[in-house]
Amino acid sequence: MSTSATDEELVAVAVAAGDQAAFGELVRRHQSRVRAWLRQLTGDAAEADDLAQDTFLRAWMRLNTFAGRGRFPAWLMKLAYNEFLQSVRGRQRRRRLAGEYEAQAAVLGRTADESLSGTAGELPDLPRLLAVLGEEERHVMLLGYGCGFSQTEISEITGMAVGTVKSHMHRGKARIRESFGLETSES
Amino acid sequence: MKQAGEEMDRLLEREFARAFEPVADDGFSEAVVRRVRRRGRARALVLAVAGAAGLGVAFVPLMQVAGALNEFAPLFAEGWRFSELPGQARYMVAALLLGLVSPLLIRLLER
Repeated sequence: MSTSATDEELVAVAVAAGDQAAFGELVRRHQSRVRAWLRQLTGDAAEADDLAQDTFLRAWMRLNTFAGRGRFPAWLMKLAYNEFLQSVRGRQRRRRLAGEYEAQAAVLGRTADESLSGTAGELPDLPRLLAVLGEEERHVMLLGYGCGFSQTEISEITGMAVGTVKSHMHRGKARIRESFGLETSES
Repeated sequence: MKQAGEEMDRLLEREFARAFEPVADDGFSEAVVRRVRRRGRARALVLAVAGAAGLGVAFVPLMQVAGALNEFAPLFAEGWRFSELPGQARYMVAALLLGLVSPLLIRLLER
């Protein structure tokens, strides 16, 4: 299968002919982003890779439901996000994760207050940034700023309303500004 | 003000992009494709077994239906009667018909 084919062309071939090579090319193209996203969500590389495998397997089984509406990466990330949510629900870990992050945020927030009062143009390390954000703010901002998905795409991926996505973005940025004393505010 | 907001956006993009630094494939894609193949084979096997079992259960009633239909409207040729065939030949004709139809049924089930 030609590597110059678009995602949509590869999907069409994989669906029409059950072409596993075409699907393999799609996996190769998108594995990095899906695995990185799941690693951010789970905080565990091995668990993230298991979920990523399940995501691609589900993608293969449901490939015929990708009707070309929107971009293939967004469709794939939605499947990955659903796999993550299912795994969290399955083991009822959500509350514990939120607790862990909150505890982490409290510790790192203190550090930020004490030693990281940033100046315009300076941001602290990514883990510190993530730690001051709420769970959903983190997901939305990772997709928006990290992957470059539009707010509409983030809404499709996460199942949140576009307005909710916008407010998570806004609140997330406000938290970062507050926590790190950044002056580059638009407010 | 707008400029400051854009500057913050750029900084956030730069920082958050670090969360998506390339992850080496290290055989991941191949493992996924292997799982897809395994699953495909298992699915085909399950369908074949289920199809065969279903056809086995349905064999006698289907043969009776075919026989009844043939009494009203000859399936193959005028004057040919399913019920007039000797017992063994009847089974063979019914099995042949089912064998011809079953791949279509399995394909339908797969969809």
